Amino acid sequence: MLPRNLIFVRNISTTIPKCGKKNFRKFQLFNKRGSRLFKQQQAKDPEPDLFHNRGVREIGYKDGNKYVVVPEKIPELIVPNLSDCKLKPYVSYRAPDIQQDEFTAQDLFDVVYAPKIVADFKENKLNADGSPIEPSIYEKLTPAEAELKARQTGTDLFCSRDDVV
Amino acid sequence: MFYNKLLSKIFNACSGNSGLKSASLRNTSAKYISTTARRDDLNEFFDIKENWGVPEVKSGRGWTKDDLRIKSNEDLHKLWYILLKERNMLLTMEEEAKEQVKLFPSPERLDKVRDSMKNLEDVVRERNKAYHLLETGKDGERPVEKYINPFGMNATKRLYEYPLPKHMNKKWLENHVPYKENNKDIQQFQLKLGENTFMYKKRKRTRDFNHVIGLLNRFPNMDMEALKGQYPDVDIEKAKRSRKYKGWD
Repeated sequence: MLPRNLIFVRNISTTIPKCGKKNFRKFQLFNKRGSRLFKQQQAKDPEPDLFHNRGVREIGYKDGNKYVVVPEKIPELIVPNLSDCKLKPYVSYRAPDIQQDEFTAQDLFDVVYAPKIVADFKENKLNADGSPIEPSIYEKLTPAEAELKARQTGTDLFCSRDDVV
Repeated sequence: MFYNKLLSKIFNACSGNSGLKSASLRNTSAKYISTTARRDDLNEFFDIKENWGVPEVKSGRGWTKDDLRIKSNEDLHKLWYILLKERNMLLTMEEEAKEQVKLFPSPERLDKVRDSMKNLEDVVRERNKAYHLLETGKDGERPVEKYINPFGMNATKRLYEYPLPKHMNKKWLENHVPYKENNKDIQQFQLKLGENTFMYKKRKRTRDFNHVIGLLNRFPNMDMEALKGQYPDVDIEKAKRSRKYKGWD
């Protein structure tokens, strides 16, 4: 005969399974969350999967144990002075309708280059191939230089959601 | 004296905008109404007191692209922050109304501000494109590439610059799994996806066909051209031959 404490008894449980919000085994604890012991472990030997930057962009890179801050990576917000600014968030319904086409490269050319070319032509300051004898700073600019200038730190690379389906 | 002041004011207003379009500007005089007053403290996050708890707040229309194209870059920069402040204010008021279980008056203002900001960004993008096309011959936007994703579907992705080449970049390789044609799971998925799209199209065809018959029954004197335009896949002659069609020609 078996001793009394070894008799198998079948039980049923009337409590609900622990799947609610209180069950912390369901969640991963990022960064500073968790018990003191867990945090001490993380400080000593951090698990890379349990790091969450919360959507904040990095301002540098890690070089071994050192973190190198890159000043160009620090976001800079340029806020204009809004005092004496008469622009408002809404436009009156009484304002006249404005028809204006899209701003194109041709428009920009007409403003920046065309007057100089016309003046040079009138004063015979053009070479036989049409290049200016005394080029302005804009005319000296090569495509590579212009691209480099346009792609400097802080510029946007536009890409709308409509382009990526 | 007064006339000179007025002239200088007009000149300043015009020179603030791009010199290109100043000719067309002189004919435009826009009146603006505002629902907010000028303040320079934390109260700017809230609407003015007169608008608290009122059923409706009157506001103008949003900024269209045509309105924004005649503005200078500096004006657009300022307007962006004005719109941003307005959006912050509206979101604060909406949250506060939610908290107090009250109705947020004129929620269409949020849509107006959102559309204005979208238009503003598009106008800046146009100018950016114009500069790049003139100076470099390219549009200067982020390149986009079409590719077949790991599930075997056509997709598009934005291209980014990386300091490391692909084969050396472990993180990139982890996130960019190539499409494997011979994978059984993918083949099964493709089969089921194909079946799903086929059934969807088939059901849509039947649904449209029956809907057209219903329309013909309800509106016998309908504009047939418009019907054909809206349901180009439906054969209307065939629909009229159906036994469900109760009319006669």
